[in-house]
This record gives sequence, C-alpha cells and structure tokens, in this order.
Amino acid sequence: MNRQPMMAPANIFTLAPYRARKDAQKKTVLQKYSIVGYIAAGTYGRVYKAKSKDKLNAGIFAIKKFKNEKEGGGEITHYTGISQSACREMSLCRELLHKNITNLTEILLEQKSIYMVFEFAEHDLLQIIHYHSHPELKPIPEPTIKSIMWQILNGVLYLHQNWVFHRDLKPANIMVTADGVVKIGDLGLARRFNNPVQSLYTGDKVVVTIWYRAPELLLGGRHYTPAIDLWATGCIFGELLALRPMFKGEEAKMDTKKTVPFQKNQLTKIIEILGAPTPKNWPNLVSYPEYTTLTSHTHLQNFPTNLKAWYHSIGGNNKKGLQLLSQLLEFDPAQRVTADAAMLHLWFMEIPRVCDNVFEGSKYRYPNRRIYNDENDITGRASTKRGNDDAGAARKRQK
Amino acid sequence: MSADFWNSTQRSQWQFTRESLAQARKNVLAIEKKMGERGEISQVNIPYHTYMRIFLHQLILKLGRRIAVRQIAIATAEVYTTRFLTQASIKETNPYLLVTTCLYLACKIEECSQHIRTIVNEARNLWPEYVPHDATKVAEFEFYLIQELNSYMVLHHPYRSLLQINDVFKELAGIRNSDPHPEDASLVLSPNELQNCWSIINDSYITDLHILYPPHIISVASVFMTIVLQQSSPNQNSSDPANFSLGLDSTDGSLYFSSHSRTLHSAIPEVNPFTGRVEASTVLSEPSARITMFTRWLGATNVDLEEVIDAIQEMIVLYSMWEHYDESQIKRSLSVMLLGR
Repeated sequence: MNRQPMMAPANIFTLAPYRARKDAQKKTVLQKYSIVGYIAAGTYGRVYKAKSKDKLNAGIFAIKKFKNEKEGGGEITHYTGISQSACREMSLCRELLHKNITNLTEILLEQKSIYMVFEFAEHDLLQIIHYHSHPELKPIPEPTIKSIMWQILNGVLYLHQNWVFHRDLKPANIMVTADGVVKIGDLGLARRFNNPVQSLYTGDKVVVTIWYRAPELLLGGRHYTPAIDLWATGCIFGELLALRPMFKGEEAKMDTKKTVPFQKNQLTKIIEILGAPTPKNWPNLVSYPEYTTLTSHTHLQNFPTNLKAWYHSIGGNNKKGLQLLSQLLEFDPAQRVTADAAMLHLWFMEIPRVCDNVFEGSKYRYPNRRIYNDENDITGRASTKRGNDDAGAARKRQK
Repeated sequence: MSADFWNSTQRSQWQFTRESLAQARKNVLAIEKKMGERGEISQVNIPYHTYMRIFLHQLILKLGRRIAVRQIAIATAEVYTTRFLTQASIKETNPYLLVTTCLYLACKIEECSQHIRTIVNEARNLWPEYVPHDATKVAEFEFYLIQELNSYMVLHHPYRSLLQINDVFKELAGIRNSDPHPEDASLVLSPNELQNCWSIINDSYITDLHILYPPHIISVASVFMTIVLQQSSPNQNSSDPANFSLGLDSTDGSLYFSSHSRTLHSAIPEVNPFTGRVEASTVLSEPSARITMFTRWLGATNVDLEEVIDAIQEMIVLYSMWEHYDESQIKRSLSVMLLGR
C-alpha cells in the first residue's frame, strides 16, 4: 500500500464495547463486602477486615488493597499497570492451595485498584510473641511452639514442592486462625524458582527482612536456594523460644553510590550466637562476594559456637529442640536441613505430640486482632497515609 | 500448582472439553449477535477462524521478536489471547491492543517484564495506525484481561516436557548401550529434530490444543510428527506432514501406523488441501524401526493416545490450511472495523 502511515488517533477504538458489557455485570467490592475496619498498612497498601454480604460465601475476610502503581509525582501521574510484585502475588496465590497457606478467595479489580480477598486469621506470631513478652515474660507452652513449627514447615514444604520461595518469612507473616491453624501469608515477595533465567537477586530491592535474612544473602550470594526460607524458619523458632528476635541487627543502608553495603551488624549478631563460619563448616564460603570483607573484620573470627549456651540462657532444655534449631540455623545452605527432613526430626516425634490446633491444651487466650476504624473507606482515593499506630508500624514492610 | 500441571489451575480452571469449548464459542457468538443488533459493535464480518488465529499468532510473534522476549512469554501471551477469546468477541476489542496487552502481562508473569512504555512504543512502530500512544489504554486493558482470566495466570508449556521426553530417550539409549545386543536405532532426538519439535509447538499456539490438553500431549505429538516426517520424506524437502496416517488399535488400544497393506481401524483422516475438509485416506510405507520403537515406548507410558492423535490431527489440519493463508483479507476487514476504511 502506498498510503501514508497514519498514527492512531487518541480516540481509536480500544475496548469500549467489551468494557461496557463487563462493567454492567460486575459487582463492586462494596456490594460484596462490608468493611469492618482496617488491620494494617504497609508499603504495599492496606489490609482491611471485611464481612461478606454473600450468603453462599459467608464469613470474615481480610482484604488486601494494593496501592496504585503510578509514575511521576505531583499533578501528572501516569498509571503504569500492575506492578511485577502484585502480579507475582496474584498469580502465585491463585495457584496455591494448602491448609497452612493463607487461602485466597478471590481477586477484585476495580477503579485501578486490586483487592485480594483472603481468609481472615485472628492472630499472628508477632502478636502472640508480644502477648507472651508483655508486660512480663511468660514462655509459650512447648506443645504450642512445636505445633506451630511443624505447621510452618508443612506450609514451607508445600511451597518448595511447588517451586516457590517465600523469601519473607517472619513472625508478622505467620498467621494463626482462631482455631489454631498456622497460615503462612504475604507472598508479596515470593518467586517461582523453576526457571530462573536471571539471578533471583536482580530487580528486587527487598529480599527478606534483615533479622531473618540468611547468611548466604548477607554475604552477597545471588543464586540462592529454598534454604533461605529454612533459615528464616529457624530464626522464628528461636524467637518463639526467646520471645525476642534472635538476631536483631541493624540494616546497613544503600549508600549514595548504590553499592550494596556489607551487613556487618547483622552478621555480628549471628556470629555472636553461632560462632564464625569457616570454610571447614561451609566449603563454599570463600566464593561469596563478601567473604574477604568478612575475614577483614578479624574480631568476628574469634567467636566460638555458642548456640547451646544461648539456648540454655533462654530457658531451653530439650536437646532435640536444640538440635533442630541448629540444623535450621546451619550456615552452609547446602547442609541446612530441608523442610521435609525437618518435619521428620525426632523432636516432633516425642511427647508432647504435634496438634492440628496449636492452642490445644494451652491456658492462654490471645486477644483478637486490633481493628482500626479511623479509615474505613476502602475505595477512597489511594491512601498514602501510613498507619501511625504501633501495630501498623510493626507490620510495615521493612525497606 | 506451579511445579505440577496436574494440580494447576490450567487444568482445574482453564481446560475445556471439545463440547464445553464449542458451548463457550456459541455463547460468544450470541453476545456478538446481540451487541451487533444493538449497534454496539461493528457490522463488519470478522470471524474468529483459523486464518484469523494465524494472523493473531503472527502479530504476537512480531511484537515479541521486536522486544526480544523469551519464547515462553510469547507462548504465554498466545494462551492468554486464546483464553480471552473464548469469553469475548474479537469485535468487542481492538485486536492489536489485545495482543499487546497479553504480551505485556505475559512478560511480567514469565519474569522478563518490560516497561509498559517500551511495549506500547514497539507496538506503535509495528502498527502505528492501530495502537494509541496513550499507554494507560494497555494498563486499563490489563485489568480486564486479568479479570477475564479470573486471575489464573501461571501456565505450563510443552517445551519443558519436550526436553523431559528427550531426557527419557537419552536414558533409554544409555541402558541400551550397555546391553550386549544393542539395537541400532535410538529415539534420542537430534538437535535438528528438537528444533523441529520446538517449531511445531510454536505453531500449536494457533490452535485450541493448549486449552484442551495437558502440555505433554502436545510435546508427544510434536515428537511423533517429527520422527514420522523425517521417515516419510527422506528426499523431499516437504514441510507438509499430512501424508501419513496413524490410529488406535481397537483391540488393545495401542498406537499403530497404517500402511497400504493394512486395514485401517480408526486411521487419522487426511485433509483435502482444496476443500480444507477432512477425508479418509490411506498412507505410506511400512514404519521404520525407529517409529516402531517410539510407538512401543509410547504404548508403555500412560500418555492418552487418543489425545495425542487428536493433537496431531489438529496440527495437520492447521498446516494444510496455512498453505492457503492470505493475510490481506484479514487486514482489510480489521481496517474497516477499526478505521472505517
């Protein structure tokens, strides 16, 4: 054709008839759910507690509303589609179905906002640990800890069998329902690892909250394995026992030159309890980018293995429990226990037995999740206001 | 789920039967009719037939190659397009925008995400008169696409099972080599053959196979066609695999090749290139040792042979129709629909 190429006019036919047809059939989030209040806020958006209006789908739900993806500040913003991480979370949650993974009921898309409707869990480990450490320390009963650990591992095993890394396991992301079933939540950072064309490191600024970050990541490892989730599970185990984070380090921030900083403080916290890693207990250690930096901090080399003393100091007295903890907190990711092997650990076989209800036999009754009513307008313009309360701040994803 | 087709939503939510697919298509036609009567869509006749699907396939390929994305993202985009068009009429949307949006979403799901601006710019370079400058149109469409997919976006493709099948062949060859009486034939696919299978799989996205059957059925079909094609045309440079026939033995359900000397039980009919109609016919020479070996291997697996045969037939029909494909008519009707000229 010798016609001049013409540029599509702004009003070119796009999807108007289709859109009109679909919109006419659609039920909005507020037609389907009534909002009870909001639960938490984070960089991703907000989570609301909601009640279904549909009798066939009755019950209480947690609705996660993503913040809109926009580009450019001020008056002129360009809507740029759904973020990669929201896409990942949506597509993965849609595939996953397991009793120890927070179940996704549906996803609603309206007015440029994404609403993921999950089953509601009354508790989470952050809240349970807080309850046991305030105002005074009162240890979590061993049967509860054991059942929680077993159910976490069961959920992690399912993820790994399905080639998914969670990458952000921490107490705030481990929910527990009112009837004592563990639900691993927040797959916002989860990735499939079946076909990693690019190293999983690239493109992700945030990988695992620093207190739960595995040593191979702290040492600059890029091609990591599902073992990072087991390290985090070990940290959670320690925290359930001690009622405080095991390795409460401070994250070294990216400097202006955008070089990835050496996480000295976090590594120190780990080494103080576990001793220094050596090529003897971790043959691959020398190949990590930060290995030379690690050895240059000579004082770090002088810490002996101290986990046993730490375990006794926090009141731990079960040898098998200590053994499982040390297998989860194994420096070398290749030697670290896998989820299925951990579930077969003798600690789970001995009395007290693992229960389907983690609260079984426990005298503790945990308070219900706090609900805030100051901002109930779920469909209101994307709120960028951060939660200014403690619970909201605690759940905020660490940057 | 993501590791396992059998527990995937691709199987539980997005796998049709021939009947349910025909029903879905009927519903779409009913929608189209109603919207046409109300004057909500163009009166131009734009059927969603094999030629249109070849056209859409080539649109996605062109855009995908332009932004140099992985084949897997292209494949995913093609399945999204096929799924979408089981629920909506092609006349309700701008097909150029549809394929752009499908590829944009597929890139994100397959972890090779492209900036929305990049994709829109490249689509505009290819189809300036059809793709609007405003990237928010793609962003808007993405929402509706995800909704139509019911947010089920993880896919399993035949490429992986193809490689797995070849691994099994290698293993078998290894065992045979240690055998004191090795057979001379090996099923291991040569690089050329693998490439051929790969191309057949690429082409299969034009068809409904990916919303009808598990991915391994399509990879087995591609291996079958490749081995037989090579056997049937050693001297001619034929790209038309339509001149062989195979069937299911009605007594023991095993797969066989028909030849002139044999009676056909349920042989695959051949397509008449002139009428596009499927006609019964007979075939070829006696199967080679390799084909015998392959059918024996296949018979020993749990692969559903009827599905494999159906997939092969679908591909044969596609290839024979492709010979008469002419995009100008489709382009013309889309131009009338979208630009009014």
